[in-house]
Amino acid sequence: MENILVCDDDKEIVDAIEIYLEQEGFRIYKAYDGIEALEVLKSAKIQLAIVDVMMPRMDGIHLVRELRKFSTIPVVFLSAKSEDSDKILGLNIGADDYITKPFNPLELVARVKSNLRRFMTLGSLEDKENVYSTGGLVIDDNSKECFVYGESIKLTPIEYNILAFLVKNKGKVYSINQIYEQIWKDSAVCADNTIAVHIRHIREKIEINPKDPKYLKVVWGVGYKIEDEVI
Amino acid sequence: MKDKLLGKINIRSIIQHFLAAFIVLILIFSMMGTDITIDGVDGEISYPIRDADRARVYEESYLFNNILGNNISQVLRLVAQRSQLETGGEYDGNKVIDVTAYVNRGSVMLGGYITAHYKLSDLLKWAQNGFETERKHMTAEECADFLAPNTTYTHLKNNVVSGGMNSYLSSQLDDNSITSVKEGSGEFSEGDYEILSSRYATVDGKNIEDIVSSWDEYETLSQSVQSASVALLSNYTEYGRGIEYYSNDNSNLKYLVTRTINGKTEVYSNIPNISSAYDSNATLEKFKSYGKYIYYCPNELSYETNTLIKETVLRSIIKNYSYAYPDQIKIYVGVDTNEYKCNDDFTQGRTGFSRYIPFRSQLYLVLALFIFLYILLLIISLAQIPVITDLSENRIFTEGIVLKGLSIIAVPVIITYLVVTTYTGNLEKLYENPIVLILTGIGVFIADMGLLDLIYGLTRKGKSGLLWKDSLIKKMSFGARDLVVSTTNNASVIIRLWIPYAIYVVINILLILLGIPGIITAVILDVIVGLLIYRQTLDRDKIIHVIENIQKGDVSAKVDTDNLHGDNIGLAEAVNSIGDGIKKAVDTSMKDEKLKADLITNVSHDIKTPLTSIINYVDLIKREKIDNERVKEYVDVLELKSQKLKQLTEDLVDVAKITSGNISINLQKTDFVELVNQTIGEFYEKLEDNKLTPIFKYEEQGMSITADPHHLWRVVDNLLNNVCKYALSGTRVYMDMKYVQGKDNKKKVEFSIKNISSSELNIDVSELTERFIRGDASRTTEGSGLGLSIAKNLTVAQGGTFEIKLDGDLFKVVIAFEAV
Repeated sequence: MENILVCDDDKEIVDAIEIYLEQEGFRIYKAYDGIEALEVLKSAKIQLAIVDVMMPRMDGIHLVRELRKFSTIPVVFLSAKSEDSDKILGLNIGADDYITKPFNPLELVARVKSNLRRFMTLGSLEDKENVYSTGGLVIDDNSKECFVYGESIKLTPIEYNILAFLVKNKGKVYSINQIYEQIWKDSAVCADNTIAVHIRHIREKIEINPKDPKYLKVVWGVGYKIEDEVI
Repeated sequence: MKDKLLGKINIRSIIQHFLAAFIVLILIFSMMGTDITIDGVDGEISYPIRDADRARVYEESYLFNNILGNNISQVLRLVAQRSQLETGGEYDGNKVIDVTAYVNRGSVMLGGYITAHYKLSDLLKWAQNGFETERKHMTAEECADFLAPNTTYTHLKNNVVSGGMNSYLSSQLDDNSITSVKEGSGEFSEGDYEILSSRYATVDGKNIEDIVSSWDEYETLSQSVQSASVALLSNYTEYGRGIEYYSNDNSNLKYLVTRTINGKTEVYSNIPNISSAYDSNATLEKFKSYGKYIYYCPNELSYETNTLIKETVLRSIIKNYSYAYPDQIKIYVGVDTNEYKCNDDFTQGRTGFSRYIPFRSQLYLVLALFIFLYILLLIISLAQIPVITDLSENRIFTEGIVLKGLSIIAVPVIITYLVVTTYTGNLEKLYENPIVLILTGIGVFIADMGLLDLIYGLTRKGKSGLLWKDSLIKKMSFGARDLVVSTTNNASVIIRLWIPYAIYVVINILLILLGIPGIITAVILDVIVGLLIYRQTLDRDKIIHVIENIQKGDVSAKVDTDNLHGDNIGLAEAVNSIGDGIKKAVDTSMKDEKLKADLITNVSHDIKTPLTSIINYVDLIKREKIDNERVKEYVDVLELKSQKLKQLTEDLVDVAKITSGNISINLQKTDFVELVNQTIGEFYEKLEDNKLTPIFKYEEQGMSITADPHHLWRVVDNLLNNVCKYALSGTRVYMDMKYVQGKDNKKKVEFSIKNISSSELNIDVSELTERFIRGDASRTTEGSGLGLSIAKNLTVAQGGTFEIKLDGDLFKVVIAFEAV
């Protein structure tokens, strides 16, 4: 049973998060500003912190800076600021994930779980032959199976082939036609949106939020790729 | 303070006026002093005073000697006249005049000559009364009867032509003539003859016709009688004046002339009772006692004087009257310089000489001093003239000052002019009158008042910088200009441009007609006008350049007005101020947009936090077991609307960012076909759910454009979202991509998407892209209404064009980018 710190100056949000996470079996510590949160972090053994950015007394940015001096636990930022620059700043100072308000409770829970799993299983992944991975996504080419943080994902053969091809060549961008040729071993007479539809299906299966994918990313106007380094 | 100052100026001005008056008077003195006018026997004579005279006393001066010379000339003339008219020093009317000898008194007559002897008084009376002639017709017999049968000739026994003597003098000697008779020819012809009426007869009681025997002789003798009479009368008139003028009582000049002819001595003098007691040495001594004297005796070759008159001068005078002066003469002339008893030429000369000459150098010194003082006072006064500070007070026109000053000056000037032009006498004499001098001084005083008034008035205006401002010319010319401008402003281009041009052409033609100089002038004129037009055009170019820059968006562009001319400065300033206005407006509007964007962003953040709770708790409610179906329904509505609110706040932030220019755009080559395919892939299920079939056609693969892929995806994403929301279910959605030729001849990639709207499009095209406007006015369906607005703004921000076309229920969006 992991201990999770939820810190937000809005009490109702903290309470709601508590309800969701307690249902998943986590133990919740609550704090309403950065100073309180720091005290809790120092006094209790916390495995993950959900931190609002804008808070009175000490804001989330300062809190994470202080926290990183003595702890490496995953931190999920929670903020009403949705600008890219805000996200980048948060991640740069040591946060592990960034969720914008208003958030989907299910997404929050999924992200919390994923971050915890990454934290717990970090470095335990064995190198096997024909097993390819990026972040928590693992493709076992032997069994033709796909896992996200150990959870088996059910994919159609075409979906598996596309994902496996992209994971094997992670970081590289492939256009619809290139993917088509790879999968069907046939030259693409004319590209259509079939591949795009498959990609979307894959994303819905492996991503927590398909609209904000972590693994399978769209490079608009160019193609698709699997992110090489996933946080 | 002001009054005191003015008072000072007034006193100073009065001093100046006095100075001016004195300066002018001194100038008049010094000018007039160079000439002395003396009322002599022959009328007024002007004598110049030489500078050399300044150091002399009057009697040694050239002036004195000039006067003396003139007087000697007059006296010797008088003596010559006396010799003709007098006997024994007195006028003798019974004196016998040999007319032919008298008429020929300057020359020598040899042999016998025809003459007649008349009494002097008879001749004078005859001349006074006039000669009467009669034209008579005579037959030969009558002629012979009228004229004498013989001609009477007169012979001078002792006709001396040496020693300065002549025939005239010889004829005057007693018993020195004899007559002889010569028989005439007696041949006459009938004809008309001029007969002189014999008013007087000769001393022998004869008439002219009794002496001559031919008409020629008659004619000659008649002429001689008339000439002698007229000359004698003229001399007699002059003689009367001369005797009076040079009488002992009237003249300081004393003379004594003796002449000895054939041992007989005549004495002519203005000294009473000296003739009888004549003695050569005593006379000389007496004349010496007068102060200035001359003694001249041609026969003895003696000349003695203490004046500057030379012998040659005397001799040349005598030569004029040689008939009267033989060698045996003695001339004594003296000027009584001891007393100057009589008011004659010498006394007048002395008065004039003493009046001007001794002070001349001092006078110049005083003049210089006065001028210096005058200028000094003028400078001080000019320096102290106060500047007009109270601009509200009524000021007279500059021309008014000039007019006032000039009219004051004009009064004495006009009076002086009138006096000078109307006064016939000698002006120098006029100025010897003290009243005239005082009047002149007053005139100069008044003129100086006008002059100083003028100078001070103008200086005051000038110092205050109002000289031109206050001038009537300026007011009138500006008025005229305003009038011209106001009339031409409303006039058509034809009047404004063509009339001056026509005048210019006419001037050119006229100049050319004038010939070579005119053509040269015309060429110079044309070059000048050309240069002016060139300059004007250069100026205009500068201004137009700036206007173009402003048009291009460089609102901070400015025209440098320093190098501009005339109207262009005003134009440039107007352009600059327009630029400033635009810049200000742009800055303000950008600032406003930024503020609005910030406001929306901040408000959105503040909305998002409570919205989080709403969404979360609605979700929590849904997780509870709810038996009541209606409550379930309500919660579903809450969930839907809270999600919509979430979408709305996000879109709002996007719109605010895009319109305020707060987004970063990274343009790069983008495969538009691939991007549309990818986006369709994302929408596949959603389209299927709405029973919509996407049909995407494109000319070729890899149709690329320059765009920001992420933003471009937002555009296509929004368009497809729009289609999902508003397209009529069960229809096809057509998407086309093709190359087109843009208006600027550039190859473009055009993407169009069209669908059948599910509801009536009762809205204006332009409003579709306005924020919060949607195809249906009811706003009940999902969506924020910002989708098209975002799409359009993003497209434009990437350099593309975005166009919505409505045709009934057909809704079409066309976006185009430049092809790569």
